[in-house]
Amino acid sequence: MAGRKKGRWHRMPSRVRKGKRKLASLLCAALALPGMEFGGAAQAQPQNEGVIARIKYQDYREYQNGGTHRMHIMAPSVMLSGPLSERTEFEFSSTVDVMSGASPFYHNTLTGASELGVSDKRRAVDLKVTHYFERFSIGVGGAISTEDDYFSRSPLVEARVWTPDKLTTLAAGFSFSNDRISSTNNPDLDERRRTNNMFLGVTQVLDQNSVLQSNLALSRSHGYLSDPYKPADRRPEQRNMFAWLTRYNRFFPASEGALHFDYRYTRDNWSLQSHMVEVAWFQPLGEHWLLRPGLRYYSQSSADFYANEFPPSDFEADYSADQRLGNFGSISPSVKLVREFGSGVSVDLKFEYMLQRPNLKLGSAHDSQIDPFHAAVISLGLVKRF
Amino acid sequence: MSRLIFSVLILFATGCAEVKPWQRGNLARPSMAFDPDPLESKMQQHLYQSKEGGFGGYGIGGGGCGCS
Repeated sequence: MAGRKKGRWHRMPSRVRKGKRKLASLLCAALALPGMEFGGAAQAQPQNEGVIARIKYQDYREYQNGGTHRMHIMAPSVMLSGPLSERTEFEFSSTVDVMSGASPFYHNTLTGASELGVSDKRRAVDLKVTHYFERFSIGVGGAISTEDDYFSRSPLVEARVWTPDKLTTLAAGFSFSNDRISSTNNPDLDERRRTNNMFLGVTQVLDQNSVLQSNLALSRSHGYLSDPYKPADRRPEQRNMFAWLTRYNRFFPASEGALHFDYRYTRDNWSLQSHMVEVAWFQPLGEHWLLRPGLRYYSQSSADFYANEFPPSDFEADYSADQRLGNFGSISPSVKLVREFGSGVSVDLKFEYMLQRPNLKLGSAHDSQIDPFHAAVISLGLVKRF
Repeated sequence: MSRLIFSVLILFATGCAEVKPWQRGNLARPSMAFDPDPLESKMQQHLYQSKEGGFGGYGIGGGGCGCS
């Protein structure tokens, strides 16, 4: 490949070669900028950032029933990414979720109320290796996640193709997951769930300061989709979900700030529909600080077999009182502060508050019996670039 | 919904200016990446997925339940 390039270069007229050299030197200057990746906005080439190690600790606490402490999750995680060769890079991550507290039995009645507190640990690892060719890239990888009562394996493959000017990138991906479900309450339970995920996306540089991405995702699950911890929970054995996500990023040179705007629509064959809007602003403060306030709004309409009652009126029909399948809206303000230190080290701290309420849902239909649900998430991160 | 999809397609088809490589400095800033902190995005999406009925669209990968 290098030999071919050299040959082509020397066949060019000297005037063209000079022009190309000028362009190459400009590119080299650009590549020397921190975080600069030619074509990076359209995700059309290796990151060229060297090895990056990230560590994060997330603390999640949720509350319901007028302030009752419901669930506490501590989640330390690490991510390591970098080049394996000039055109190949890897990304590895690992997370442990340590859960304790009480999970809703049905509606908002807690297992903890009957002294059946929940305690579980989830360990997850995933690895992806991406090789970049001249006009496209191929990534392969997989993820494994284990809990006492849940085991999941999912291989994945993805491809990206970009135009010669690297302003447009098309992405496609496929993953397959094979899950095994048990229950600590019922050791005899041994069920399977299979899911196919398909993904298609396009990223387009619009101008010098803005980039747009639009993704379609289809997930098809088959098997045991009920929640073994919720009594009488009985869901259909097939779930097909369609998600359409559009993301728009715009840079404002005057303030050196960047706006991120995301909108997502989902719909499934359980009649559950959702809308999500998220806005974030990235503002550098001086040389070493970055402030990122954000606001996310989410609204969903319930699955058709969701019932705001317990016990169910018909034990033979599909039924769930899981409020995650009910009508609600959710609003989450967040703020993140990043401090850059020398020698490639940065530290970040993020706080997010989440409020779920039936009357935050778009439109009028809501289940007023469900108590508002609050969660507070604090995360502390450390990044080291080698 | 189809009107919204159509509007986005129109934006793609008409809204793109020619951007020379040396004009891409701002686009290459870390804050202009779709996921400037990929570990945060991964944890965040997992959290939302365990609390909400609608999910997906951010890419391929992940796995497991963590549904409590």
